[in-house]
Amino acid sequence: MNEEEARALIGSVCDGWYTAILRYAWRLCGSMEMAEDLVQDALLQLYAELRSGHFIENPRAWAVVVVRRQAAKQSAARRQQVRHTVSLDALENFAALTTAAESPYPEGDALSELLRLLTKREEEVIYLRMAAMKYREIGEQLGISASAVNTLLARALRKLRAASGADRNENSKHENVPIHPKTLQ
Amino acid sequence: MFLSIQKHCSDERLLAYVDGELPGRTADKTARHLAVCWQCRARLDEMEHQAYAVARALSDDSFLHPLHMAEIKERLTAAQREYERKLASKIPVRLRVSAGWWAAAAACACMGLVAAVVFWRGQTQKHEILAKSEQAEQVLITQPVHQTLHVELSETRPRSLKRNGKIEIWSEPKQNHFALRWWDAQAGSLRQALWRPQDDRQYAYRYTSAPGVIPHYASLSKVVSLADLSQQGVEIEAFERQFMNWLENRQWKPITLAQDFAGFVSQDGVELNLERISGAEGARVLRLTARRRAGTLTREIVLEMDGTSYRPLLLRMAFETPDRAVELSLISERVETVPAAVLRASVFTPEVGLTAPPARVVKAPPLPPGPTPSLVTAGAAFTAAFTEAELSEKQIQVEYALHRFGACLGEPVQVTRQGVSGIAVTGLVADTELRDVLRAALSNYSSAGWLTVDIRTVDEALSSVLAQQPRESADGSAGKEAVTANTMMASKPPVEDFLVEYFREHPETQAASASSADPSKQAAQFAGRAVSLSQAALAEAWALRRLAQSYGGFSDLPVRSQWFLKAMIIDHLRALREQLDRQFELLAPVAPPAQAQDSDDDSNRHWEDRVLRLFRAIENLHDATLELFAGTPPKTGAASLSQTLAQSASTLKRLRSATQVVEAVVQDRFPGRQDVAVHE
Repeated sequence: MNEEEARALIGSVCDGWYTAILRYAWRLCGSMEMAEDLVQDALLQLYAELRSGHFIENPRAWAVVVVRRQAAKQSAARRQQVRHTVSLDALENFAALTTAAESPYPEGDALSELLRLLTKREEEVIYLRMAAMKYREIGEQLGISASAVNTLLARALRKLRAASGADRNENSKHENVPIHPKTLQ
Repeated sequence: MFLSIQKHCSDERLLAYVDGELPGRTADKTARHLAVCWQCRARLDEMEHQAYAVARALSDDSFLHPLHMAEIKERLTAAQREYERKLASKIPVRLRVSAGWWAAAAACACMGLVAAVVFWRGQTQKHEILAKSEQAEQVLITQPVHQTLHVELSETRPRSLKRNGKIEIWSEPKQNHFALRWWDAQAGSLRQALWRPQDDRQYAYRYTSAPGVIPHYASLSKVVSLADLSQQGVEIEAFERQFMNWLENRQWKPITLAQDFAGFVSQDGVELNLERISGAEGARVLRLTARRRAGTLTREIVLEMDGTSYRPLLLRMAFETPDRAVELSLISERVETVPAAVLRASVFTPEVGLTAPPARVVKAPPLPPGPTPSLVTAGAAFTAAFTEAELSEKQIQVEYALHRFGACLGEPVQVTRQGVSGIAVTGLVADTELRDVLRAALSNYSSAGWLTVDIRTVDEALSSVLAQQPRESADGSAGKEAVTANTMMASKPPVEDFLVEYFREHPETQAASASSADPSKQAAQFAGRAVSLSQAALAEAWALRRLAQSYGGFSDLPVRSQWFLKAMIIDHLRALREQLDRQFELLAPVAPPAQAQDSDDDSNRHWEDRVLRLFRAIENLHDATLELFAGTPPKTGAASLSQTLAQSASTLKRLRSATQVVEAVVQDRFPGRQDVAVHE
């Protein structure tokens, strides 16, 4: 792929999607600066891959996987570092620190507040699905089965629908329906 | 069909359906159900809206400030440009995060490749360097050379011992002439020497070998490799012995450090390492280390060479077992090619002084009057003037050179000054062999120009005298000496009767050593032995006296000269004591006990006074001995035989202790080896 094509592709990937992947990276590493670095690196890497002639079927999925992997690595490195440098004072303020770590979102962001209703897994599944990944591919990344991905995704949407003021009664009625997919077969 | 209408779809199924994740048959069923079920269709629609709403919310760019968004895009574009730039210059882009994996993998692969290449090249490089080094010392084998090596032999475990020395090699490969001399630095004596003055004449000397210089034939020991040095054991004595064997087995060749090292390297199981170190004054030095393990024994041989010329500088051999460790270092001090014409034959001839010293006792006669001796000078005519101190220093150097070859013991060789321009050595020696050796020993100095050497044999001197003087004069002097000798032997020694009587009474006394049981013969042997021992003692005393008279007055000699002087004095004192001991052993059983005499307790005397007193005492003793055993007319007053004998024995004892006192004084007065080293 030549330089122009690669740039155009990266541009299209970024358009309407950059914010989502940035939010995902932010969710993963908890710091906006680090998240931006992660995304930038992933996009540059994607650019390099495209320029070196590799065919990438789903560039968004490719980038999101790279971000996820790097975030996991950085998080492991940071844990290692914190383990070595944590002081007694930090232990005393443990509650405050953990609270702060669990709420990395700005207070005013409505979507962030909404996403707080979801578990980390559910949120992650949403992001990965947004990158147009198949259930099987998402399951591979998270180490779970495709049907589990299906369940997590449905549950996440249900939660968001409930939170966004949909008809609770109807939802609750549907929630009570025993789900046995095999019964339909 | 009925069932599919009755049963509603779950959220998961609806979601999977719209996501296209359901298998074909299930998807068909769901589609059929949705076609008839309003509720499920409404839920699906709702779910799709929800998903769309989430997706739209997550992708909302208003999350970031527009300026910030622009900045991000700019950064991304810049990174892409940078990538393109590096791609153009063929430098792989450094990727901060994920790319690191690829970069690391590539780096690992490269390092592996580089390591393989370096290892392969390193191996060949080591051998190339060694080959160059061997080439650099080729001159040793092909050219006439003078090689000097410093030798350090040490044991570090279990004892801590060290020996230093110097190996000096002269080699003339065309004529097959060779000489090796290993001087001990502490004692200043030869430890080992090899000479090959001619193709068919080879000699060897070791300080341990009793008779001194022995004809050397192909050695029986088979030490050919440095690796075999530890064959006789890992301790300093055995190691040195084996090293001597190695030296003797080198086929009359100079020591080629690199070639011997290469011989060791070529063995199995030797690992070779190359280091680059900086030597003295920042010189580049290459160090090759070869190590070989066999059981508990580790052999390590290190070769250091000059980084530019590849000339070998040092060879260090360290042999180690868990409880023993010895080390031998050969440090190349000098390698110089010598024009074959300059090499003197005497360099390759064995030093006579190394043999057991012959009992040559010749009282120094005055030099026969004759023509001006022809000078044996190799250098150009020398005209410079020396100061008093310089002359003394040089004179002592020459004395020491003569001393090393035993020419100070009664040989009528004199060291005299020639004004302020130099030193002359003149004298007569008994045979041509000694004459050549002395000339060779002094050749270093005579080639420097300040020394003239005229050493001739008695025959040479006589022939030159006879050529000029009337025949009868020479005959007369010879006849006179012969007469004296006859007179000496003709008169009967006064002690003979006493001795015969003694041996008759004590037949067991001399039975062990005497060849005959006849008392009169025993008495004669006894007398002869007493006289020869006394003469030997007197010769040592003469040498001492000469040193005392020549150098006793100097108080400001250079430290090095003082050390030479001290070495000579101590040598003579010890030899004298040995002779006195032998004399005492001989006389003590025969002589009646005598009262002990007062010893010399005047502690304020200088060493030279003490030496002179010692000399006079020994001279008196010698006279007494001659009176007793050789029948010369008595100089001293008449005394009974037994009294004289008893006195002699007690004098011997006293003189023996006197030599010890003088030695202590000399040790005190003169600097030690360390002082010389410090001074230099």
